[in-house]
Amino acid sequence: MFSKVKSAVCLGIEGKIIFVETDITRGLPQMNIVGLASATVMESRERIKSATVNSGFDYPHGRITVNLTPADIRKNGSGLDLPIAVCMLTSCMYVNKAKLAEYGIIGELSLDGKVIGIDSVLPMVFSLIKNNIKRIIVPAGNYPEAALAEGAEIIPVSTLRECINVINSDCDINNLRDRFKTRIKRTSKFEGFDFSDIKGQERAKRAITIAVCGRHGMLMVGSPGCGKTMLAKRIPTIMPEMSGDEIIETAIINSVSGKNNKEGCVCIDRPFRNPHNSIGKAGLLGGGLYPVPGEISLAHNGVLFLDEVCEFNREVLDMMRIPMEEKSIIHFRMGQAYKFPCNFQLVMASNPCKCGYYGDQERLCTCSQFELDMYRKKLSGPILDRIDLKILMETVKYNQLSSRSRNSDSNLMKNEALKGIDFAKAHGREYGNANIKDKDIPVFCKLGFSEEKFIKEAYKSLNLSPRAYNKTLKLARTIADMDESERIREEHIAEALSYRTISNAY
Amino acid sequence: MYKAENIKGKKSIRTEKIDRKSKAFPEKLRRIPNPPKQIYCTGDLSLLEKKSISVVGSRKFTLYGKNVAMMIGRRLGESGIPVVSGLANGIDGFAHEGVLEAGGKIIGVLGSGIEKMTPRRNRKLMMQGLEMGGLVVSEYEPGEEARPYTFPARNRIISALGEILVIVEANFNSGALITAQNAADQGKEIFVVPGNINSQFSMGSNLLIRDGATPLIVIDDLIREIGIVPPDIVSEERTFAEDEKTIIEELKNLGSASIDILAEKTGKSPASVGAILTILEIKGVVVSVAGQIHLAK
Repeated sequence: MFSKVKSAVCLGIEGKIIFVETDITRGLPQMNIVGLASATVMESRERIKSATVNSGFDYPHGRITVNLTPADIRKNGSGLDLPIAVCMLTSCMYVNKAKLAEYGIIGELSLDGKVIGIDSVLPMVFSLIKNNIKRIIVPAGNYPEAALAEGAEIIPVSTLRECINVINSDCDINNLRDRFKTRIKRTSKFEGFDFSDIKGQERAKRAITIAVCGRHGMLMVGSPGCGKTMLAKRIPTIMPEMSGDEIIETAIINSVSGKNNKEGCVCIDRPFRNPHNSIGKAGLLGGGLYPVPGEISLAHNGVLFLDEVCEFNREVLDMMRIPMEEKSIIHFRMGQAYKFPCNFQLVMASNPCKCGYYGDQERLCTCSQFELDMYRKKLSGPILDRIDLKILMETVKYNQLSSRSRNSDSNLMKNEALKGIDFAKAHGREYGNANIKDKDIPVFCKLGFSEEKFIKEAYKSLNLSPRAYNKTLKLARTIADMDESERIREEHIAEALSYRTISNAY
Repeated sequence: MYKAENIKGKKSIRTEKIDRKSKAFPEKLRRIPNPPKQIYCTGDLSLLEKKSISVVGSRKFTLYGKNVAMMIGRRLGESGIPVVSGLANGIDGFAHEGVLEAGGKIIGVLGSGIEKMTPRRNRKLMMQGLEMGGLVVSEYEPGEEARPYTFPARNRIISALGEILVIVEANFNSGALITAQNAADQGKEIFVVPGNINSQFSMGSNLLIRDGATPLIVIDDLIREIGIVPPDIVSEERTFAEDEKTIIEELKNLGSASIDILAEKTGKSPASVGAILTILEIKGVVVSVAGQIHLAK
């Protein structure tokens, strides 16, 4: 007997609807799966057999043919176990065929009949909703992320039998849902972190606030131990909350890279990625036979922090240029294009030289002129062009700080940043002045007569490049936003210029 | 690319060989304990007969060293005194830059053949010096490459060509100390710019002061020492806003400071201190090096 179930697979970060068809005919008992199935899908035969029997159903005696359509899409992943099993059992009259037509089903089976959570559920759910499917069965472990999708009833199940009971309407769905309430989690990794942990470095803190407010790229240069990494690690504590769309975009990427189902909850904090400097091309940009997102995509809507940026492979870093402009990266595999978004804010930290003590007040730099030149070369160039703020930091000595010294904490800095973000929004700009297009600069970054004169003078006496000119304007816009000033004033430009980047670094 | 540059170099530099036996060989060089067999020169040979001053220092420097080297260069350039130095990275180069800024004449002494000018990054400085009527001297054949021992060896020529030797900044193991030894052997007066006693970069030069070298306190002392009357200094008055004045005063007290320290001392926010400093930088009053703000000049 023939039956059909709707399911989905995931290609990159995009779900595709798949129809699973089974037909049981007379013949030697065997199961054949056709329709460009990968090895994982082929192996599902053994899991389905055991799971069916262990759930108390009779395994059909006959020749079972499973077809996955459309047949020209490569199907990978274990999410087709459950739909194939349900479809086969429908052919054996265990399931109400009329009711089954309303459902989309996703899930992996274990041998004892339990339904196990899988990766990439969220994009699959979206693709099913797009195809007007109103009720979607997902593994209980994937329920929190799947519940982010609106427009369909999401039903969590934990066993094969439960799944069939749901379809046959012998099971209370609300009861199931209550059992697996959506859990939303804030990143606990950075809990207890606060900017007040770092004494002094007020200038760096100010720069970070500006960077967060306008999503500007930032570079911190300083001797070892001056607090660069500590500061960077606290950036997540002052980042604004994500909007609904951003939460979903981020959840999709996390889902595809398997970061959601493991913990059974959804993270709604902006990502903060901190890859090690040994990272290669695939790790940073994404890749693989079935491409998975790399660090730049995992940092989508958040921050990518490159510590000791000079230790990274220069070639790998330079490959970030186009994705940074385009805010997305496309991988080609076997005739398919996989697109991953990567709208991230770049924060980098570096020592001033190879030994780390160039310009230090007390320790002697042991680098030769050649080593200094080589190190600076690494810092200059195309990536430095994408940086709007640069600060040079020095080690703070205990006795330089008095008790009345300023010591900004995360709360204060977050408020400052939010003030600017709200102001920008109220004036019709999206989050992130760093992303203002060059053609929009005259509109958003309008200058008065005296400011125009001031920046022209600076342009000449500080040897600015045309690119630096635009960067300064965007940065000045952010500083003015934080000041809640509609006009960019001279002091805003002057402050923006104090964070300017020079190609020969320092 | 490299070849093309080389050919270009050969075209533009014409060297003249002066043998020790020739009359044109400078008397200053003949008198020293181990004079070179011959020298190769390019540029204005008459500079060899003029009273000149040698200025040297180590390749690594602090901003203080750089500023002083340029100050000395400028002042000597204004006074029309040729400055002898090694055209090396660091202090040597800055002294010459100062001279050229003031429109003076330089005498560069190389540790390699003139065509193989080392370090190559200072080739531009050398060419500029030659254009402005300077002189470049080397005891090596024009095509000879530099070797580690050629640099210390040319130091005796640097000290010999100047009436006085000035050492700006020198570390323990700086080549400038070899020049000082040579100068002492040749009976020249040595002036040393005093540095902070806790500065690694002034360790060697401060030791020279302890051992009897004259500390250089006023630059014009150098000019008087060789019997020339220093020209008047032209000074300019400038006006600053109240905020700017506070910061300039603070910088005068501290010597140099980071923005954080300035903010702390003046009680302003780091943001506004940054803004004020930018304006001062545009006015050319302060410079920032490796995160430290210094008063310019």
